[in-house]
Amino acid sequence: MMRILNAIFILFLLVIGPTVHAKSLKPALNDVIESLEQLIAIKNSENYLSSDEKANIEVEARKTALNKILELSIEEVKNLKDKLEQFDDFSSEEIGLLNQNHINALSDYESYYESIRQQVNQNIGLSEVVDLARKLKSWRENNYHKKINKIASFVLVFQNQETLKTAENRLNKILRDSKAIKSLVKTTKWGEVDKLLEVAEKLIKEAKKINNDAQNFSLDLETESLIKKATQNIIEAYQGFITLGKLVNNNPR
Amino acid sequence: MSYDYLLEYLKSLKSINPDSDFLSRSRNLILNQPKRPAYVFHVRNQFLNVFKFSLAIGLSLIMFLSLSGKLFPKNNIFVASLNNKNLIKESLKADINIQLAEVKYYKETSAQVTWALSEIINNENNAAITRLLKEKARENDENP
Repeated sequence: MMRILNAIFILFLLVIGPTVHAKSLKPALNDVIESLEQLIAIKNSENYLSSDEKANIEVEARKTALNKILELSIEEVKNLKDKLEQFDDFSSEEIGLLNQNHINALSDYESYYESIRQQVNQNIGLSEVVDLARKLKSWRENNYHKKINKIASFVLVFQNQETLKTAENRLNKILRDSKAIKSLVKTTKWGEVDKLLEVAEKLIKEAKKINNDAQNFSLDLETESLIKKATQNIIEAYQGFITLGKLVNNNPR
Repeated sequence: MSYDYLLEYLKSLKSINPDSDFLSRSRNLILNQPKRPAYVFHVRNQFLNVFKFSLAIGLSLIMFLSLSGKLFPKNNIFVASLNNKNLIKESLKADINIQLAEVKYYKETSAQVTWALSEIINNENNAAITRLLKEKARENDENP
């Protein structure tokens, strides 16, 4: 019964877990889509409106769409900044500085978006709106995209570091309990206990090394695949701990 | 059919009698029905019924608890570090991390916003872009 409950719990977390990250961004993204739909509908319409009236409505629709894009971008920047500001305990001074640099860059991006937003909301015509959109597009393509992906990878490495810390703590607790564990199981099973602990320790050590490599951002390594590998190691180590727990229950002295 | 004829016919039905075999069979059947015990409504037996019911519920509860490990915890309390619940919780946290949702999100929305900006810049209508954006958003919802 407990297994079924655990399975349901796991499924529930797997489903909602990943969505939590970008929860606040989803409505903003939907707003962008909605505003674009309206813009296209207006561009498409051939009704009783005079060309002047249509032009006015179209300008407003473009301004709304641009505003929605800016709102989404500001949300994204804030979301990442909040995460970076929570990080501490850096492995080196350099990494701490890098974190601060990212925070500063994000603050600059936020100010840039705000300045464009102010211009959009002034009494401007079609050509100015289009110019602002063009300016924003080229700025994003040349500066923002690359940097924001780097920062998202940086966040990933630090989130993984937290997971790694928890796994290390767990391993140390179990190692401290190893005498107690052995006193509870048949002596014939001691070899298995040692082996399970040894493998888990090795996996976690390796995960730590991979995570440190991923932290060396200057090498421009494939951060995502490194984090994936480190996380897989951690999960395997936990599977070992769970097997050890079963061994203790099934082979009492 | 005339009215008089109908009346006569109905009167003749009065003299109908059941077949004697059928009569005795039915009587036996009715008399041999098991009698409803008089003590059903007795307070003592009412109590007994309640007790039986409680016993059944109690036994099910004990079975449920022992199966779920609450009554006789499977994990030995002396090895707190091997608590199954904590192990599952921590490994789940690691597993969620591996989904790399955040990095994926930023990569995808960057492309979506570029399309949206092109639509603001371009004068001609491009419904295909919105369709693509909508499809992407739906994919995001389905596979976050």
